[in-house]
Amino acid sequence: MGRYLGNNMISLGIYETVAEMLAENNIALEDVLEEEVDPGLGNGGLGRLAACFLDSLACLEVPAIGYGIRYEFGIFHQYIRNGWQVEVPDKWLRNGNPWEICRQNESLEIPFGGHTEMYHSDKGHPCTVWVPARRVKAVPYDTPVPGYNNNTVNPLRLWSAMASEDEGFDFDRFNAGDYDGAVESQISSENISKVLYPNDNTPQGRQLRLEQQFFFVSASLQDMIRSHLSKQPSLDNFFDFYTVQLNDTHPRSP
Amino acid sequence: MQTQPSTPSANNAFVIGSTQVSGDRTGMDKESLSRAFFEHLFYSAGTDQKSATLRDHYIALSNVVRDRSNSVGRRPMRPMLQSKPKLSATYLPNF
Repeated sequence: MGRYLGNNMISLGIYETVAEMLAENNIALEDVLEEEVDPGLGNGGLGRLAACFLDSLACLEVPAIGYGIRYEFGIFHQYIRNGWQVEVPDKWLRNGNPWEICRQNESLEIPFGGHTEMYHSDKGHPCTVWVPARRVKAVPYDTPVPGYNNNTVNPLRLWSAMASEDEGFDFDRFNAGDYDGAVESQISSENISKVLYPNDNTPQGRQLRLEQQFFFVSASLQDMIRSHLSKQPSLDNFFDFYTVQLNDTHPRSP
Repeated sequence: MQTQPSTPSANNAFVIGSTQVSGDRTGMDKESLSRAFFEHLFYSAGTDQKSATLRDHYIALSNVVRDRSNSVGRRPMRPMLQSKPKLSATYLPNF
C-alpha cells in the first residue's frame, strides 16, 4: 500500500505488460504513476506499519479487513516560511480517488453523548436505555488490497463522517435566512473525519480527537458484529472469526 | 467514439455468482488491457485519446487495475470474513 497503481500492477503481475501497452500508444507509464497522490493517512511510522500489516496479510492469504478513518485532509504538509514552520492541509482527495468504492447502503449510525433512562421490562427487570444527544452517520469506502501473485484481495474500509438522515441540513433555518445555522449540525458531524491529527491544544481539539476515536471504534465494531451475525446465529463464536489488533502505540500519560 | 471494437473476450470471460463478467474487466493479456484502457478513457475519464491529459490516463489505468483487483479469486471484494482467519500471535507485536 501507499500509492496504489504501481503496487497493484506488481501484485497482479501486469506491470511490464501495461508498460509495453502504453509505450505502444506513446504514453510513458512513469509519467502516469506520478499523477497519483500519496494517501497521507498516517504520520509516518504508524501509518506505514498499518499499511505493511495489510500488505502482509494479503500476501500471506490471511482473510482480514483494515479499518480506518477516511480523513478529507491527510497528514499536513510542512513548510518553513520566514524562519517559522507553516502547516498546510493535505488535499489528497481533491482530484477524486478512483480506487475506492462508496457503500452508502452499508452506512452505520454512531450515537454520541446524551443520557441514560431506567425502565422496567414486561417481566419487571430493571433495564437501562441510552438516549444519545446526537447521531453521526459513518459511510464506508472500500479499497482493494491485493496480495502479491495470489488470489487474495482484502478490503481496506475507511469511514467517512456525515450528518445522519434527520440531523443534517435544516431547511426551516435556511428558509428563514439563517444559512450558517442551517448547516451547523452537518458541519459538526463532518468535522469528525475532516482532519488527521487535529491540534489538541484546546478543549475543542481534545474533544474532537476523542470523538474521532469513538467514531472509528464504534463503526468498526458495529461492522464486524453485523458481518458476523449475517453468517452466524449468535456472537457466541465471534472470537473464532475475529481477532482485533489496534494499530496504535502512542504513549499516553495518565 | 475512439474506442476499439468491443468484441467480447470470450477467452477471459467468467461467471461471478450469477453475473457473467466480461473478459475486458479481467483479462491480463496486452490486448485485453489495451481495450480496457481505452474503454475506461472514454467511459470513466470522459475523454478520448486525442484530448486526454496525463490525469485522464491515470484515471483510465487505475480503473483497469481496480477492475482486476476487485475480481481476483473470481469473487467481488467484500469486507466479510468468509472463513476463519489463520491469524496467530506471531503477527501481533506486543500480544
